[in-house]
Amino acid sequence: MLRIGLKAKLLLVTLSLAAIPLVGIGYVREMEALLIEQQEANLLAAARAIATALNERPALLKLKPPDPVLRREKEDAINTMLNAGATATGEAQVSNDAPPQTAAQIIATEASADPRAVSDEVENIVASLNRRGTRVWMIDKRFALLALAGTLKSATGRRPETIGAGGSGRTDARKPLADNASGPSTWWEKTEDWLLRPLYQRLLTRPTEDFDDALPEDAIVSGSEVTRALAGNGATRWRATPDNRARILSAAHPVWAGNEVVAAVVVEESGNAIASFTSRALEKLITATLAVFVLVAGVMLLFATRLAGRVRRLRDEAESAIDAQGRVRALTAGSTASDEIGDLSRSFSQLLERLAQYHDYLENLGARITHEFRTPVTVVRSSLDNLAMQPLPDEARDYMQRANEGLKRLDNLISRMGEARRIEQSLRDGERSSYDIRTVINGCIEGYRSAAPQQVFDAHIAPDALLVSGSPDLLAQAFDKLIANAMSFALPGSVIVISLQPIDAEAVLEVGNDGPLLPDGPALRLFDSMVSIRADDASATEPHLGLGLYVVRLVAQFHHGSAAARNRADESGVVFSVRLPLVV
Amino acid sequence: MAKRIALIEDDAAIRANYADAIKKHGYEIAAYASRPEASNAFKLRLPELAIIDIGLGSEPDGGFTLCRELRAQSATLPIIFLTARDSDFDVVSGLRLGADDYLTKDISLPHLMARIAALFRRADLANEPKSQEEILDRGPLRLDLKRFLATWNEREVDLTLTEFWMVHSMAKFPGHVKNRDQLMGEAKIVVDDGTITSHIKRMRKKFIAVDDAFDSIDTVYGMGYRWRAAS
Repeated sequence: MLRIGLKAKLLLVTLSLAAIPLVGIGYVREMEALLIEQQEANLLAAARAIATALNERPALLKLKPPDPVLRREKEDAINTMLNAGATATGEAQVSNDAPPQTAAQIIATEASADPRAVSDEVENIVASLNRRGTRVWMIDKRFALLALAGTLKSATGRRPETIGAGGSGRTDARKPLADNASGPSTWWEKTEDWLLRPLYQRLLTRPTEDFDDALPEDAIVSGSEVTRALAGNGATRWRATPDNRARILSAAHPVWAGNEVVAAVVVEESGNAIASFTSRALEKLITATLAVFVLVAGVMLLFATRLAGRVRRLRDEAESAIDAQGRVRALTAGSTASDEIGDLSRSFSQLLERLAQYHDYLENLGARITHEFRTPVTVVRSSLDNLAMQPLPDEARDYMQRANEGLKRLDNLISRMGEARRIEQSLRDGERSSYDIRTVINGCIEGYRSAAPQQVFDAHIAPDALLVSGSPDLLAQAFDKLIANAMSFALPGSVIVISLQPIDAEAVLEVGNDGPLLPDGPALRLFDSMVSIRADDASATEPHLGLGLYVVRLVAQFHHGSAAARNRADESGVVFSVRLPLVV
Repeated sequence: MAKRIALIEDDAAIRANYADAIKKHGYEIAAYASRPEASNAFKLRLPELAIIDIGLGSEPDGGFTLCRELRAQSATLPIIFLTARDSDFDVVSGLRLGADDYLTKDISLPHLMARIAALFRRADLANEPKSQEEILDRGPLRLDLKRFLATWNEREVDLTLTEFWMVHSMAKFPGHVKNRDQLMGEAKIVVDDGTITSHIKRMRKKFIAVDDAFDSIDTVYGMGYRWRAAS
């Protein structure tokens, strides 16, 4: 199963911060819509201002007399436009209350105009009224351009350092802005530029000044705002530049002479200011979000690290709370903390304390049972001893004999029960010294050979001294247990193989015998207390309490070593091994 | 006059059995079931030997208390602890209080009687002039087999009867390995291997207390112990 740590989980939780920029983006879009509305209103006001300046000054607008053919066409076109204007949505800003005109009237007005081209004065007025970044043009009713002033570029309202360099108007805004003359000043801006600029360039479209600002013919003729203005109403319109790199807002307003529209003033501005504002706002938003995210993630990571560390310490301590000698220690990690981990630590400690009490109880139970057994056994023995001093019939002697044998077995049982406990006790006293394990093993093997002459022992003992730290007496006792175990399982007439060799800075003592194999399964608890996997054998003269291998393990652990059992590779028998670290 | 032995034991059956056996061996017996009972009796008259159980009824350490009282009344009175407990801690506590021997209850009555006789002999001879001596000399070790006294370099080693018999068993034939069964047989006790080990440990300590360089008790792992002939 996939393991997700506390840290990873908290970091995943941190991802919920991603909701913040979503909300922010919505807000920025709202702002953008509002700003666009305002820009439209402002531009229309500008158009109206210029138009007002030209109102009632038809002299300024003397135009050529129209060609008859052209006039017909114009009339048709204007009629179409008027109709279109009448059916228009009505959202266009109506700035006058002029009565509706017919095409004939319009053309009649035009006919009276001077054929001369646009006068310089108009140009002057238009230019003087023009704002920076806007372009103003004026057309008459026949869509002839009367005046043109201003340019659309270099008026986006962006911060100076983010605007394309100089007045060339052809800067490629796609270049990193760090190239700009006045580069980022603070380390934060530098980092931002270095880290985030590439991201923004992918995600956000920056408005560019590099757009085609030509005034196309169709913008003049087919612009709905122009036709509506010529019909007497102010109107605005958004259109894309011919190269599609920017959007241009144009506002048109009619110029009146008396009750007649004589011309239309059109003011144009690029949408770059707002687009730039929006993109700037989004950049800031993303930057801020990222910064917050990094900060929060960092804090979370620190917090999670600390939390995980505490939990880990607690776990490690809990795992080692019961040491090799079976002693139970209280936990110290987080035991004074006032939070849940502290609670956990304390309840663990409580649990361990109870475990220790239970452990003590079990330990003392052995002692108590031994003690409690001894008294009745003493009663029986002393009674039998007294009886033996009496003159008894021969028949009674047999019973006495059997009773004594039974008593001996009982004694044996009691002293075995006490043995593991006594070894635990002496392990606790912990008297240890460095000794050559070979001396002990060699001595023991000699002893076994003389005690059990019918059994063949095949010993392979390392030639060099093997110093281990522990208790030679206890080791001899453990070795006794291994040999007793091997002898009780060995097939009659088979050889018990004993080997003692240094392997990887450990003295490895192995006792192998031919005989039944160990059962499979990882839950082999042979070396635990009171575990015996012997087949029940009612005829066994020796009681088996499953303490022998437990003693082996205890002694091995006392030597900081380990005990293990395995089947021989050829399945001819089993090998019990004890590994004890060598003293350097 | 028959020697008077005090037996303090809370279990009635054991008390009766021991009392019978002791009586049969010609001693006078005074059996008590509790510490106050025995204490009161001892104020009137001291026995010549006391056999004390450690746990006495409601007093788990009543035997220790009684031993301390008795020892205060008489420095020479032989005291034997007889108990079901066999932890090293109890053994050490009992012996430190001045008991002459410490036995577990699995000892047989004949063995107990042998011990009683030996302790009486030691007590009797301690007051007599050294007439007919039975001495075992092994270099710096000298064992007085009648008084059960052990000396090392002429300094007395305070051995219990059990320990004395074990040392004697080994020192009789220096260099010969005595296995545990042989040691137990000669010391007239039946204990398990672990207890023999702690007996040996205690004996070594006692000798080392009078001579730092003592190393005559040799462990032969898997076989037993031997007395190393003095070099």
